Amino acid sequence: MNDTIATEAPEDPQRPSVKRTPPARRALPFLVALASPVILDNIGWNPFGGWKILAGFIILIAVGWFAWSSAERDPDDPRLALKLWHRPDQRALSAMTCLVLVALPFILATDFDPPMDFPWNTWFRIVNYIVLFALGAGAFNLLAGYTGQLSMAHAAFLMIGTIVGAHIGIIWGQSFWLCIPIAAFAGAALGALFGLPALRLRGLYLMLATIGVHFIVLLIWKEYLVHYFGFGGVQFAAPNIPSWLHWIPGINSEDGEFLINTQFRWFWLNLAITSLGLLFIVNVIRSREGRAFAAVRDRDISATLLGINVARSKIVSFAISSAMVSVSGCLLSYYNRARSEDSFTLEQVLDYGIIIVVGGFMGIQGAIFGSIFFFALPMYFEWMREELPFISDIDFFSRYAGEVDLAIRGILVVVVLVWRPDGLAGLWQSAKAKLLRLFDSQAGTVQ
Amino acid sequence: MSNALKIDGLNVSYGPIPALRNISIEVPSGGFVSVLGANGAGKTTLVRTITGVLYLQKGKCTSGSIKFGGQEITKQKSRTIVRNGIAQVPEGRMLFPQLTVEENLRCGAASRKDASGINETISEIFDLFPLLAPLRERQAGLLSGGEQQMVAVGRALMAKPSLLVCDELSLGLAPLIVRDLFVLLDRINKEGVAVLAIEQNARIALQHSQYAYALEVGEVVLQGPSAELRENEEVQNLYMGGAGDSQAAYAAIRREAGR
Repeated sequence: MNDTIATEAPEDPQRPSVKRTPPARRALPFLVALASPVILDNIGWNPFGGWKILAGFIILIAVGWFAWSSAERDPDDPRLALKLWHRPDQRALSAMTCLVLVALPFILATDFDPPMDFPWNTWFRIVNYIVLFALGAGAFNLLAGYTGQLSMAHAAFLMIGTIVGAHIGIIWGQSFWLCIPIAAFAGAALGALFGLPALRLRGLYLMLATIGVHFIVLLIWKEYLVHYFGFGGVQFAAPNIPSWLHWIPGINSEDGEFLINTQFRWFWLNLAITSLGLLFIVNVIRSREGRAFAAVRDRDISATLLGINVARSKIVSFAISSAMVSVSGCLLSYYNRARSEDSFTLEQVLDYGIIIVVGGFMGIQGAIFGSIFFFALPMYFEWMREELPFISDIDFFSRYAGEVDLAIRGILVVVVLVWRPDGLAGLWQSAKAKLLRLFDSQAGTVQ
Repeated sequence: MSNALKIDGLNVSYGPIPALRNISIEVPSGGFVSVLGANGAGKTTLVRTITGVLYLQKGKCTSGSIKFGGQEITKQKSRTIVRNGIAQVPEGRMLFPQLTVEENLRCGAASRKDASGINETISEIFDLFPLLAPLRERQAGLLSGGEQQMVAVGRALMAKPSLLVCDELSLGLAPLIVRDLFVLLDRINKEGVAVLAIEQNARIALQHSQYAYALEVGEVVLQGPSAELRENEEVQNLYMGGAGDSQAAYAAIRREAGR
């Protein structure tokens, strides 16, 4: 009887073994795509905005197809669910995202002039903020969303990162590159310390305790600022890439120094640090430690019964999250160039809260989508308010510009949350699943 | 090394209220023992005491000892207890609803460090519960009650325990599924894992276990080999909805237990 149970394992319909497409067939569209700029240029076809746009899209799709068809799955591998990019759609999307991210600064740096005075170069600043906030929001999500520890001490760690950056970079005159790792260590150590209340408190009580942490650090920040820099605030110098790194392509030495002082250069630095940070978060989530975090969030008694050290998990989560927030605080301060007494408010924590609630609590996608929502929308509203006919005529909108933006954003937050309680990331997941079903009837394994 | 669980003269109270009085229970190495009892008999308290989470409910073990493999575990932390080889299937399953089945299983291996061994055990669990294999990437909260209970058992087995404590395995499940689960418990037991099943469903528990205890208001009122207890009229009346006057039998036992 027992044996029949074992042999009656139902044929798994969701996990067919996919055969790899032969390399020649995979490479063909790729080669066509690479040739497409030349072909399009010779044909002389010039649709909206030039052939470069079309060629870009063709290359994008070809890269996606190449990554999609390179996926190979071993259905018997028990580590399957933990792999970062084992599904074709994961591969295609990651490859395409990488391509877009690499192309983005070059595209934004062109003097392209979209119709209706739609802003172009101005987006650079927005994109940089999105990238920087995605790191902070991802770290916040790890703590609040993934471990379930509602902390309001987020801005406090931005301050700690800034203090480290200012003290090492300006008072001690050391390199910017030293500030980042030290900010991470300081953030981790203080995060573990300030996370101690979480061992006794949870939910709203923990939130109140961490608000206390915020005001303690705020006091320290103000004292520090007045003591070392006076009431004017800190001015940060642009980071300099040391000369022994000037062999890297794209870095051309100007009298032995290469300052990161343009939006274009900042983008690469922000992107590098944010990508590393988010990748680290993803890997934490996929690991034993991350599963322990989720177990603590879902049912801490059950976690205890399984032998998970709940106290340790909470503290480690606080430390990792705070280290990243601290790094992002240091980076943000250097990017902003100036920080003053009132740069860090409790409202900023709410901003990060909005980002991850609207974006979605699970994973890092929420942090990314949320940051885009948070920064791109106001910019878009501004353009609508100034350029669109009818809307630009309404006097009220231009007179109360900031308030109207906030109100619309508030309404959109409500709309998104009522419509999709799992946020934009959930919306994206379900849209992707639908799209995949169109593409490939066998690939619909997206949860 | 013998991995017998030996509970001796255990007294547990929640503040001034005694919950367990002078309990002595023994689970031999590789044995299958069930503990029966109605609501409020102290079954859950017993489990909490064994697995070291009594403090979460502000309970306190006032006297007595719990020895596992000859080692005193009464005052140990629950993660040490898990590492020593006692895993629990908690009452009401208590899965992590937002994690997938596989992640839930991996959580069960929190006390282990060997990555390849963990992967191996996961394959074994999917062999043991073939129904779970296709659900591997499904969210645990979306499974049916029976499937969830299988995940809960599998999760406990991930720690490679030598004693599996099942708290109310039959809770809220269809009789057919309960039977399947107990057949599986038998199989797990045959592979050398001792099982301590805390059950309200006396019929099924007595069918599968070798030895049984009946708890009543915090005390052991009956004990004996399961086959004997199954024939016992009192047990039939009390726990199996027997034909006799269950009210009277219940009152008699209550009186005996000193209430």
